[in-house]
Amino acid sequence: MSTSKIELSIDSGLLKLTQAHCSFAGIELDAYIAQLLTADLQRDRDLQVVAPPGQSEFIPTREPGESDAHHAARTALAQKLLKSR
Amino acid sequence: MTDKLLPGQFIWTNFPFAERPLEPGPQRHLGYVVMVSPDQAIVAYTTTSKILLEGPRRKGVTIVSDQNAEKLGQKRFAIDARRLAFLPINEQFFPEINSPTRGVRGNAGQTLRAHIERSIADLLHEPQLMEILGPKRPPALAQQHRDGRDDR
Repeated sequence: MSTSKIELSIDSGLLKLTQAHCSFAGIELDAYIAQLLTADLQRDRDLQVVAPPGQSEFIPTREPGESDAHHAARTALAQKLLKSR
Repeated sequence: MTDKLLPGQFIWTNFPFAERPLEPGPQRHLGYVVMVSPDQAIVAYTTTSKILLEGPRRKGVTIVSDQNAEKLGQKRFAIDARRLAFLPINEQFFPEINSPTRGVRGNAGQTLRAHIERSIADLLHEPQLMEILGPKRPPALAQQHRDGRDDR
């Protein structure tokens, strides 16, 4: 896998990663994305994870020292659980 | 409330039974905190079931060794990531949350935490193996329960 498969939007300095983006990229939100994001996006950016409109959210509380990428990966995992059945 | 719970903690819960997935379970049960948000937590079930401890390895089930279980004052047990609950952080579901210890029995190391998260991610490929409980669980599941269509 490579970062070129990830669709990201940058809005006013905020990097937003959405479920829609991830599914568009065809990437399964598993451990790979955490590794991948951690490796390639670990920068001093304010990364926000947003759920599609109308969907319940579970935004994990950020832990001390947790990277943007790891937090994004955890949030994505929680959102995926919310959609699971 | 959020600061009272942290991911990776083993904590006393009233983990819901499958028969009454939206209500607190009738007895204290050790749960594993997978994630915490400002008002709720995702908790994994733990069990000492011999079938899981001694039988063939099952996807999503992680055995906690005797040595590590002893540190928690427990016998050997398993974390069953197939059974998760979205729980509000309150005394109904976390009976000792307002006590000095908050009911926390111990903490998982980073390796175990990462392993559990990966197990859950893997299980999402086979959602039929998963059982998601609790009043904060996904709205579609809660609706099915209200409609009497919950088959879990």
